Amino acid sequence: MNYLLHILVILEIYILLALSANQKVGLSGLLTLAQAVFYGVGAYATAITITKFGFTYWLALPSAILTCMLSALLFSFVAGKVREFYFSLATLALQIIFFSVVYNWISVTRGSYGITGISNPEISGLNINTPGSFALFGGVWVLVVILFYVWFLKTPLCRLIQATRDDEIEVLSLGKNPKYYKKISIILSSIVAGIAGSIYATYTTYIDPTSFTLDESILILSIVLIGGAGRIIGPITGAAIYILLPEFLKFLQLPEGIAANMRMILFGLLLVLIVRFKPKGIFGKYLIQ
Amino acid sequence: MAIGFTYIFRVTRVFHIAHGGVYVAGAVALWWMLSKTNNWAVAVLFAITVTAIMIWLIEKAIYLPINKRQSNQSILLVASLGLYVAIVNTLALLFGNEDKIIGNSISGSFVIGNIILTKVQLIQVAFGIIATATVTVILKLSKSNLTFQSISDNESISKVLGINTEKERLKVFISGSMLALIAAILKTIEVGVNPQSGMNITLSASVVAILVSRLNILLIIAFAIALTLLQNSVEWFLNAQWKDGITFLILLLVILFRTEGIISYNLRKDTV
Amino acid sequence: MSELLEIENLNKSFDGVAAVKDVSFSMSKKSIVLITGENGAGKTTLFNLITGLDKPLKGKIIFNGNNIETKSALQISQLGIIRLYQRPRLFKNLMVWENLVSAVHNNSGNSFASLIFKSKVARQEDKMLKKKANALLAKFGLQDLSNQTAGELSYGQQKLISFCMIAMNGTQLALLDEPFAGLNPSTIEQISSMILQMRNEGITFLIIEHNINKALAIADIHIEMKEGAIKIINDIATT
Repeated sequence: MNYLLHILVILEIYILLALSANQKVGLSGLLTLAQAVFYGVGAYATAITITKFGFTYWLALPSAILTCMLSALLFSFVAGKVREFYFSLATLALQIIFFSVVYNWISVTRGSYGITGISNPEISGLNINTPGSFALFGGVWVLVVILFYVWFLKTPLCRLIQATRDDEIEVLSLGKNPKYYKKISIILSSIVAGIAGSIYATYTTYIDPTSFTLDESILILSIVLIGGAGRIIGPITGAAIYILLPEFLKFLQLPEGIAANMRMILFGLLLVLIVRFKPKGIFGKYLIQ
Repeated sequence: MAIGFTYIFRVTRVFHIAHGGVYVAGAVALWWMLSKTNNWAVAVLFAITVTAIMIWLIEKAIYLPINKRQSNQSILLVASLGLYVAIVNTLALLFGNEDKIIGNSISGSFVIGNIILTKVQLIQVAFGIIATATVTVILKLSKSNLTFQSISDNESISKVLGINTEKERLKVFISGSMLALIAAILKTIEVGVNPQSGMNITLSASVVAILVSRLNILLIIAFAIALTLLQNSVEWFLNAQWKDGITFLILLLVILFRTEGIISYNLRKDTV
Repeated sequence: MSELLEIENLNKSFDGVAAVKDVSFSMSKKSIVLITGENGAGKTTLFNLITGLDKPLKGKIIFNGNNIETKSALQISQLGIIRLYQRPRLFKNLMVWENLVSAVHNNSGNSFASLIFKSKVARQEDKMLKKKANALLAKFGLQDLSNQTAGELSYGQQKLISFCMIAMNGTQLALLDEPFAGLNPSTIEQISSMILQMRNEGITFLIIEHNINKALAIADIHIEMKEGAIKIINDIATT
């Protein structure tokens, strides 16, 4: 039972990450290879404020969100400078630079040793420390974010964010600043990823740089592309496929070691096949070209 | 590696991360055949065959169809990433994640003054020079470079001018992969190979590919050497983990401020 | 009539070759001005200068009494100068009505702050704009397209929708780049009548077109350009 709940918490974290990436990929058309950076910034900001400054979760979370927003500004500077392929490439570079910094800035991040002893969140004196309560806690966050997007997708602002994705020059000639819409989108995306990071840090109580690598970013992007970018259902489906795939493989009685590799093989192939044959993804609205 | 990657990137538009997968696959193929037969000639031949078939399949089944759809380069990048993940994990599944060392008989070293060179390093240098020299000569003699350059500049016009772009693309992929194989073999006899070891070298090669926008072998070599020197000095003065960070910081700055690459001859502003 | 756009001694050259030479003309409000000329006569450069994509070497562009030649493309478009490209540029993954509403300037739901702090106003305003968009479509007989995805429309339909976008956002001056190119005669008629109707509602048009006969039928003034300079200005309305 605890194992199932653990899977559920991880699934919730990935749903949040996928939704955050969808904000960039689906709504703004920015194929980012650095979504794990914001996940990492959120997790590290939470961990550091809790362990070093003794913040409670409810103080650490806003500081994590704030840090994420600040990094998002740097990111939107990059997005304003380069487009499409070179944007993806620039995010790849940012991702690797981020990892390098986290790994080497030992005085702050403790490098490869990681940060231990991150306390669990508390709600009115109730300590959230069992998988069950965490699953509920994560579930509430997922619900909040989904509800936000149900509302947000219908707003004129979101429409213009998508308009900017479709044709930046036209947005400009209609008298609106495309950079503003990109910036809003990137900031929103980084906030959601930061929340996912803060949940992850307080759930595992231990983080190290290997959770926020280029591989992780590739994974998050793949989840969105496979599920389909644009709508809410797509990223959720993608996350579910990724998390439940190994369980399914175990069900086929494959040994653990083989299942782990099989999962990545299938996921990699699925990504290639989707890009090759069904560029909209399983539930996508927006055709990625 | 850098030459292969640059040519592939500039001619076919594919930011070929799966190059790292091909690199590792070639090395593992060599290692496997060598452990079965203990015969270098057979093993090398086998590795060449495996690499060639693999890249042929990748191009025909994935890259070419996507390219025909006039997709954005990012999509090719994503496809390549997916391929890389699939290849690396297949290798890990079949042969395990640990280092595969080729038991070599080429031990021993030379001492020249203060410098100690192992025999393996000498072989690496020798083969490296021979391989790049061969490629340079072939490109010169066959005038392929001109063809590649024209495809790189404008694929559709090249097609109209009667260049068989599909054939030329395949040529580039296969020769690029052969270079990767040579690099892989040379690296493997020194330190062995594991499924993950293709990524770093490919990323370094990709930095060169972005920096050099003209298909000029000497330029690519010069940049590759400069990058390696830089990486090694970073490793020496700071530590190994900063290496990637610094390399990609340079790449990022170049992308941000000069998308056309440092050396570029035709920066023409597109008319709206 | 008051002058909406005045251009004085405009000059621009690329690599020493003059693309626009001493061009001066003015346009009064609610007029339709046609510019013709061979390729390379400087028409497109002139458009780029007016919309701020290129900066002139010399000369003035005065819009509603304000100098705009140093303003950015964004500022200029916010003043109410819109350019329609030869290929219609729509937001192809959005629905037609969403395209039209996106064109509007003062929709409070466009900024994040007012979405949160004035959510009720924003929602009502958006509803109203959707109604306005549908009414506009109905006026030109395009109401059936409202809920279709813009990218799936035919070329001609996309062009018609892009004209509706001008009417949506309070444009004063519309620059049209070959509005008739690639269209069948009936769509050309439809667009001509749309232009005339919008002109009556207060929009001024500057048109580049190769299909001279069709364009002359609606134009008030015909300017012919050659090698970057104005060759003839012909006032059709008075002759």
